[in-house]
Amino acid sequence: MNFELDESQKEFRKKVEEFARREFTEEAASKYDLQEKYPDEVVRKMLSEGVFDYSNPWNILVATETFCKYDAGMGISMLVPFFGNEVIALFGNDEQKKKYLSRVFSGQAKMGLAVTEPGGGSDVANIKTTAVKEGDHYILNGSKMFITNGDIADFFVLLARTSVEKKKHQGMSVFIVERNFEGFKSNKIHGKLGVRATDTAELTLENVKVPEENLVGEPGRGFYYIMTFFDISRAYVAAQALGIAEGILERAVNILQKDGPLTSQPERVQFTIADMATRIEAAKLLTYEAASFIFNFNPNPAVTSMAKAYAAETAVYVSRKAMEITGVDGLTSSMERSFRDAKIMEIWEGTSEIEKLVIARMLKVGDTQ
Amino acid sequence: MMEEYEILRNTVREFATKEIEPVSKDIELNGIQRQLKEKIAGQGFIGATLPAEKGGAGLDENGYMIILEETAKASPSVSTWIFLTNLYLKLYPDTDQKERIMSGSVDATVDISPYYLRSKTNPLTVTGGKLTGRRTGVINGTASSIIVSDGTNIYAVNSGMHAESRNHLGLRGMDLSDIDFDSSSYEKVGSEEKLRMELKKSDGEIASIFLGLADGTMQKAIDYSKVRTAFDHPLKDYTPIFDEIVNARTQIDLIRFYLYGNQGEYARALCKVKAKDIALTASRSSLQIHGGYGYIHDFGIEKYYRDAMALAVYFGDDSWENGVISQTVMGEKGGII
Ligand SMILES: Cc1cc2nc3c(=O)[nH]c(=O)nc-3n(C[C@H](O)[C@H](O)[C@H](O)COP(=O)(O)OP(=O)(O)OC[C@H]3O[C@@H](n4cnc5c(N)ncnc54)[C@H](O)[C@@H]3O)c2cc1C
Repeated sequence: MNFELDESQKEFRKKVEEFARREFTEEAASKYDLQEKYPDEVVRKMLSEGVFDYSNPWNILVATETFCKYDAGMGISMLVPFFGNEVIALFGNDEQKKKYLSRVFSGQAKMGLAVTEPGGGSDVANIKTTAVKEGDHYILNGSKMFITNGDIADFFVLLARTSVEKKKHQGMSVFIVERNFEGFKSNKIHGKLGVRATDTAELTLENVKVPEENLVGEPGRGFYYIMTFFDISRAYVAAQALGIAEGILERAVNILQKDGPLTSQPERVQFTIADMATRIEAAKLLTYEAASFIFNFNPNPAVTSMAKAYAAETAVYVSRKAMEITGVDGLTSSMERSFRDAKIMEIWEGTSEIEKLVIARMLKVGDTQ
Repeated sequence: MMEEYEILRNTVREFATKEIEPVSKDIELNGIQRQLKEKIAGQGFIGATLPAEKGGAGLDENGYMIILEETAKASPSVSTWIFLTNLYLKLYPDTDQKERIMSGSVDATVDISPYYLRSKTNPLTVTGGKLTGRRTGVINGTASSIIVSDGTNIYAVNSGMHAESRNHLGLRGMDLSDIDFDSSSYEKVGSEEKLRMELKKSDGEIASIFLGLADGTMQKAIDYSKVRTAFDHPLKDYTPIFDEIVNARTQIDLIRFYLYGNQGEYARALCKVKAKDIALTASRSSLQIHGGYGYIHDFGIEKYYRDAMALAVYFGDDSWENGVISQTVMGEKGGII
């Protein structure tokens, strides 16, 4: 067992850190936050400087964690243009990979993943968007809610119902839907509590004609594809939450240290710091463990959900405790933004409640009586 | 007496539902509307505790707490605005701006920034007919008149204040300003001790703001849990959600029962600490129960989450309360290392 990243990953982390320090200045981060603006310029810069390396999933995890430590809104924005790519990578055909994924990875296009609907996000099997086959295409109708990149992505991996089956999970299919298909509309959602540099929108589909070749994988298997995707992506969300928590801890300690060494603080404060740091360390181990299972092609959904739920809870816990121990210094610093950002971690890509249901369902135990 | 409180509570609740709730989202974006301030004043909420001969409503502590609690349910910003305006009038009931303040047509506030959690404000200087210095993070810092302390005395400053608003986490119905003071138009109102004592006596009032916040957001979660379904059942039917709601609600009810039934220093200190905790917990639960909608301004839920945290910093220095509590629990000082 080895709890360290290897040398090349450490090198990579340094590179990412250097970029984040330079580009995610307080001025920039608060501007994108205040204006609710996607930092396209910074993403382009990152791509042109070749900071990013998609070839190794560990690098994506490390970049996610590191970016979010500096600023979650900007950090997530850096990596979100290819959000949902795994669905095509795992279940799409070569034609789809060539047509869509290559453009995303070269920075020429952005994508999104559209599952949630106004009527519900947790109960994925209950979505109402329909896809009806007509000749060599499908006709899609429905609406999608809270879709990241909804107003800026060029295309979406989208879940719709293709048939009514006895079991709700069956009869759903995944399609690649381009923004410029007729009948597709997006409506930006304003006023998010946090991660305001990321773009979120509501999508409506009115008789959108989607060519047959944009069906991903087999019809009727969509629910399973999306769940498989979540079992991967939740490790990255855990890394987002971990990064946020780490960033807040550093900021809080640095604020307190202006008054002298931490040991000069009341024990109440020292204990809180110790608690924050311990939880972060535990969240980190869970996150890296989940990632390691996934990257070795042996995913463990229970552990992935543990990592996601625990890291999210840690981010929120740390964001609140940090405020309590730094008081007005924290409230009037960039920690204020992190406090707002942290809360999304318990909601998106499976709420903490849903993660717990997954853990209980997927847990494997021995036969001790 | 109990009946009178019930009548008052119903009146304030109705006012909050009719007049504050419908504009509560706009309050977050553009501040508390002047018209609303005038309506609040028209209800007698400003100067609530001043005796009738001073032009006030002559309410006792419980009556005043009811006003703060019920308004906080719809808008913690509004409730805190009422609290700060009244604090000004308590400290300076003879101000010649009284009529305008009590009619809601001008704002007056008290700079409580030196008492925020871990505050390190520089004292202001008062010499040669001039009051100078800088204060950061003053709530409602663009008010026409502000009571500030120089560490020894408190002064009502009426001009010569250059306020610059900054972005802030909570209570967005009021600005949070950094103010440069360079004023020759100020009056001495009393000693700093007077302000500090008044704040200490305000524990019950602060508790009622926290309590109203917690109850307001929890009630919205309760309503939502009855109409939102997931996996074919209303959210309220799921045991974790039920437990969370009931847990918060029972704590809120217990604190309220204790708060209005006990007037001593210990009771108020205890309620303030407990009400702060439940405000933080309930605002997080409520947002979570609302799912993605909880995270979006338009649903009117996320503000409670921001406000609870901001209030916990503004009113979160519990050293005085812990001292009071220690006297009762330990019979002496404790919890100081
Ligand atoms: C900023 C943002 C970005 C997003 N980006 C995307 C995106 O790119 N693509 C996408 O598809 N979606 C996206 N989402 C949607 C997100 O995934 C959903 O909000 C989330 O899954 C919860 O769904 P919901 O909001 O409908 O809440 P609901 O499903 O209505 O749940 C409400 C509450 O009930 C709880 N609950 C539900 N069922 C149970 C149960 N059985 N037991 C106990 N508790 C339960 C939930 O945990 C939650 O607390 C985004 C949301 C936000 C806010």
